[in-house]
Amino acid sequence: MPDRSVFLLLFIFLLVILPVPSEAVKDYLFKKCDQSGFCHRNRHFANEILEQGDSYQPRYSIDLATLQIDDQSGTVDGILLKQLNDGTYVDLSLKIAVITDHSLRLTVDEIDRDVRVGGNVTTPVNKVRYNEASTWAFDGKDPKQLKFTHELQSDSLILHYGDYNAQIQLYPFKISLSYKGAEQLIVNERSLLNVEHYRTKVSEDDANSNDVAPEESTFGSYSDSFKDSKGDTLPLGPESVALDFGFVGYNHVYGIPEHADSLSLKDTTDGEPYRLFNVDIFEYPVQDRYQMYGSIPFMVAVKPGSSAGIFWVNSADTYVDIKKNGEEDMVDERKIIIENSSRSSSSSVQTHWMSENGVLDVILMVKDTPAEISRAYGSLTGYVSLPNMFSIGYHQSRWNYNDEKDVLDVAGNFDSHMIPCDAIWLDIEYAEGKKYFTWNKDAFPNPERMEAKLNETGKKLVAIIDPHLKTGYSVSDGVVKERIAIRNADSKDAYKGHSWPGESVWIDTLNPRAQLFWNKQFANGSQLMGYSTNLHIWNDMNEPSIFNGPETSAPKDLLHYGNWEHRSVHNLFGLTYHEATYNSLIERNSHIRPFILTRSFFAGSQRTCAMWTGDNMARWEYLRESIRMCLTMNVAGFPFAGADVGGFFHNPDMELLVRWYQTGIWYPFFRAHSHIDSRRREPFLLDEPYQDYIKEALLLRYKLLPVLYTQFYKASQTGLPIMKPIFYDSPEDVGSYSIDDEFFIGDLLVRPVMEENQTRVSVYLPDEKRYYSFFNLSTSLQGKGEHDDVEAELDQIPLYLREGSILPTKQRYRRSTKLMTYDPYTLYVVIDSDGHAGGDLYIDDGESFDYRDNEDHLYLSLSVEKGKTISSKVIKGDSAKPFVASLSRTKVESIVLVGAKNVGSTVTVHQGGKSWEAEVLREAPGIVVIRNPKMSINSAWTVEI
Amino acid sequence: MKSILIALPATCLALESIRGVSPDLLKSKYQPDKDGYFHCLNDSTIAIPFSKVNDDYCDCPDGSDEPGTSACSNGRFYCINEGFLPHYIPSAWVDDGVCDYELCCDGSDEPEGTCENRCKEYAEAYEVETRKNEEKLKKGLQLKSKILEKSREQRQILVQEVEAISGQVVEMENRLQELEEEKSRSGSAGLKKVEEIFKPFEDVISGISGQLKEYSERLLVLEDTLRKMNEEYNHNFNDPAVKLAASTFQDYLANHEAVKKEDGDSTGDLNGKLEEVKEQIVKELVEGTTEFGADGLFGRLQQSAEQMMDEFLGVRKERKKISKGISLGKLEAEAEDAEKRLKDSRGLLEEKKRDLERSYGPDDILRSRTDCITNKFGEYKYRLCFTGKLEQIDGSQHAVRIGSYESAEIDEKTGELVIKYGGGEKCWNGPIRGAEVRAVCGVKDEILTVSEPEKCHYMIEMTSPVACAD
Repeated sequence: MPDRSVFLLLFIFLLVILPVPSEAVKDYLFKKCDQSGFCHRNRHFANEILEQGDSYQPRYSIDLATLQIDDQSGTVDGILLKQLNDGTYVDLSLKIAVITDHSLRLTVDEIDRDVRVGGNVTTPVNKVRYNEASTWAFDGKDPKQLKFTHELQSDSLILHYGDYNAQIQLYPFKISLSYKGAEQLIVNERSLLNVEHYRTKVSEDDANSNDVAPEESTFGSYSDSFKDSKGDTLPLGPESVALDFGFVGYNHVYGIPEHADSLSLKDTTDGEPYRLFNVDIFEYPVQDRYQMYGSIPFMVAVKPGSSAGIFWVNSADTYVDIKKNGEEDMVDERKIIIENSSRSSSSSVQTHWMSENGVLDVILMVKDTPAEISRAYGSLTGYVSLPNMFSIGYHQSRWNYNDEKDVLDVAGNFDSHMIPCDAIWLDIEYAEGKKYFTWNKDAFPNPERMEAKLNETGKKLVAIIDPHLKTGYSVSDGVVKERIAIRNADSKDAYKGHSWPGESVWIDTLNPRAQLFWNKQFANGSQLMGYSTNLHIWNDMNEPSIFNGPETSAPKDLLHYGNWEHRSVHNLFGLTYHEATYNSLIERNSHIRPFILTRSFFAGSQRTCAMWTGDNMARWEYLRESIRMCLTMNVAGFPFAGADVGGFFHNPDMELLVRWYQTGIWYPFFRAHSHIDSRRREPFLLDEPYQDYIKEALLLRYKLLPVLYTQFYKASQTGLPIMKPIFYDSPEDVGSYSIDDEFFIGDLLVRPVMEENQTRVSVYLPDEKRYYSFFNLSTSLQGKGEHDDVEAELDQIPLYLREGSILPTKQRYRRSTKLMTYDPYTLYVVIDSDGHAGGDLYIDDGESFDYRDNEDHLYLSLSVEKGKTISSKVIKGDSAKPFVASLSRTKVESIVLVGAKNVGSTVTVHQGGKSWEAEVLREAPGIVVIRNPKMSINSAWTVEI
Repeated sequence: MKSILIALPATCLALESIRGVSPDLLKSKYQPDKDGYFHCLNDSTIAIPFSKVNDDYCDCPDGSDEPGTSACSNGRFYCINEGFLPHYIPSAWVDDGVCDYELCCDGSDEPEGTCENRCKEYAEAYEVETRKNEEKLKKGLQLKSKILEKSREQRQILVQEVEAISGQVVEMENRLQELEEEKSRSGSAGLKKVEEIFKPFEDVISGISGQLKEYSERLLVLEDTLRKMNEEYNHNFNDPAVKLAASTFQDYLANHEAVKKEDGDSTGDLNGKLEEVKEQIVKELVEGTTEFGADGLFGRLQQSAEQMMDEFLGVRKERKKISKGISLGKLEAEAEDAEKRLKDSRGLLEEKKRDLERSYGPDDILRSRTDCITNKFGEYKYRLCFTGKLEQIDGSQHAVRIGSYESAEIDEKTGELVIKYGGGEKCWNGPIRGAEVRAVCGVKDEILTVSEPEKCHYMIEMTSPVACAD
């Protein structure tokens, strides 16, 4: 007895003094730059060179004699020489091309690499540098090449095209890109170009090796010392590619998602670089540069007068260092940049891109505005596709809805509480033993019955299908038997790892035969899909996430189709996976636009799916981060983005949940989701007044769907963001460059409240226009800069309508978007001081491809001329097409008119050769409502005011 | 609002039907006034030309001008459902392309020709269902009245028991008081002094005892948590922290016997010894044999205290044993015995009283339901003892307690009897288990569905006669 007492005391004592592990990312699972071979080597290389300064003799030059310049086809080919220690050279192939939108593409590869690797490597691994990242990233076609004229001098080659000059210096190799006479981008400005050519381990280890320059490090060249990666066989040794780019006169760069950081990227000199490496990052921290679930190696820079972009087409593990030389001053909470008036000798933002392997392939863009950069990037990688209308409604998810009754009860509760909802989701527990493509028949005895029930009110079901396939059932057996699994480094067997269902294999969706196999799993009559028309798919864990793998993912020396190492394709595997799903769904039913949500993504993913920001937490800082991340996704050409509303881990309090819904309604992809350990928090379960606040926010989302859908349409045509950072509409205003808690959707300025206990916010205006409070059009803000003290009680969303705009809305609540199809429109018309206003509206059936295959769609331009007439013109659309024709029953039920002068008691409406009167109601000074003017939406009309 | 006056011929004004309006309201409210106006139902000061009723634009704040369209978000639409029961639906369900037959079997919520009239089949099905329900209710009510009868009987028995035991307790108290008085008469003034001396010791021990008990409970929880983690953690997940914790715990188990739950507290011995010494001294006082000095009262007190502290701290020393051998006085023994019996009876009385006061639902109905039912769902069996435990039993007969009976009440909205079970076993890495059982009227006690809307919070639907109501 006494012994135990002592033990007890000691035990308690220990418990008290030992630190409790705090909840945070398991950072020991992931490599820091100095633990990663190629990052360590390239940072070392950069430091050595920068220390040597002007005394450094760069090693790369263009061999003038080899240059082949073809003005007509727009290409320059030649040999880039890399000098070794003894003065001899390694020959690299160099290709420079002027492509679509006057972008400049630079490609560097090793010549005859496979020959030099030869018999040194005995495994079947593909020995050439991976050169198919662009095949996956580009929109199905090679970019067009454009003509140029050139001047060849003894030390340089100058290309002239459009408003551009590209000055290519032969030694040291460097490219200076100018636009409209001003230098914009400098390639290899700091001589950090590094192409680690193939060398054997013997030469690497040799102290006097000719292959290893004094400024190079050999860290991690042939083995990986990081604890979970020690098994990496690194069969091809060091093979990284790296290059530096200077942005001249720019202080702000954006993009390169996915990171939980600010919109404007930070200087990384004293810390970790931004890493692009797709991983399942458990409990990720915010305001950090950790790698996350997806990667888009595309960066955008903005300054008054021009905008620049760099698209680094590489799918291997990649780090990006950013150095900012511009003067930055902290004023207030928001950073105001004091622009350098004098040109400094070096560029103001310098970036250093490092990838573990692959060819060096980079595309440089310079345009007048960030919007044009978005368009140029999208013309290469594709624009977001026009979504199925339901998918921009509200999605209700949870890990997990347990059975058919649960699913139908949740759906029914939305209806009985008159809260709109478009989709109910099923997480991993619905499948029997997490064997995807099966159903747990106890819980879901008749999935098609359940889907049909949801379909009655236009609701959809979204079910999860992950790439890990539990060993020992028909689907995984098929994958193994047909040899379409990701294979071990020796290529013999399917790789086996662990994930949710236990031991699993991974389908290799780079393999064209995998597509055929995948099609069968989704086919009509299949176990999963049956003959459903409202089942859509969620692709999760496709980084791929492997519980027992290095950095929670796949060993880098696994082999994919074509014997490419996983190392080369890691960042695009997620894309190949969700694209396979997309193709299968199209194969199954080519009439319905598939909806797919993915967690992992790469450049080009925007063409076929939506993404969300993974497993966030029910905390205020994650709410704030969600907006920054979504804005970054929008800059990076992937606007169909969202975050788990309410937070995935933990339980939000009511204030946080209300604010999250009020913020979440602006995510292009709007889904509430939560962890299996969390309390249920579906809106209809909440107490008043919170339920009502959330319901109002949801109704606002649905009212504004015509605006959102029109923005999707424009994004699908031009690559323009849907959630626009403030500087997109006002790139001349440097004050807006760092703002990431405010944004535009069309002409709506949104400033969500994302702080606890906040009842007042500050709203930033980027110009001198008048901004009307959406909920009280009698009040407005005007004047560039911060407007403090804007009211934002818990039931309020600071939302402004820019003067000169016309906003189409649908005011009626319905149980789903589908049931709103023919509802009438209410137009908000805000006339500016010159008597003008403009807007647009895109309409189609919202679910089929008829808009594309049959041009059965309608694009309207709405405008006010001289304060006298409001009119709608059909820009695109044919009233004989079935859907457009059916829209004759859809009317304009109301026009809310702000800023109109001398409006009488009636107005005259003209449409289709007929005229009639509509009554005018006076709402408030300066605001009138045209009551029920009843124009059909599908043909031109004019209202005389 | 009256700016536009639309003149209508008087003959047109007596309307026979307006879409979405009940026949009663049609007559009383949906007729134009003498000037041809409609007045909003909840605010008759707002008037609109009658032609604006159902013109697909919402004019009345209460939505009453658009009974037959979806223009007003707060409007309601009257489905006549001829041949069946009429029903209101929200105006948002009007003209949305969905035939809401459940409430609007005549299909009048959608434009003419969209939805067939299904009222006949609904009416027939309803009649069959109603008949079935009536039968069920009739039988169920009979069963329920038997259960109620039994519950009343049990309550009666309990009331009688409480009365009887109360009487016994009073008798015992009287007897004990007599004994105490006798004792105190023969006792010594030193008693009070002894109490004073012992007080600080008792306080210290009771403090330590409380602390130890708490620590021991916390350790139990910790060990239990770790044990479960050790058994249940996902071996697949490459989480070094979990793996390290699991292996450390295995080492710990190998080196220590797991703590067992005990009834008494761990300082029971200390208290017991202190009590022993005290009794002895009191007895000596009473018998007049106390002396001061090393072997006397205070010497022994000091000795005992030291020994207790050493033992508590794990220091082992040879100490002189406290001499024993003085037998209790007869009076003492009798008083002690009386006190013990009194304590027992009081305990029993408390228990019965608590049971009597405990809520067994409306009309005390569950008082007699000490029985249990078992039903199987998927891989688990669920054993529900109405006023006892609710358990989940797996294939290998391992039972997990979801909870114990807490309360039962009628849900006013649904008419269901909601029985709550709480304080179940704690889930690994999760909350304490609990369940809500929702019973609807039925002839049999039968679990219909078991779900787990939140981890370890169960929702059980069942039928039972106890949920039948007129």
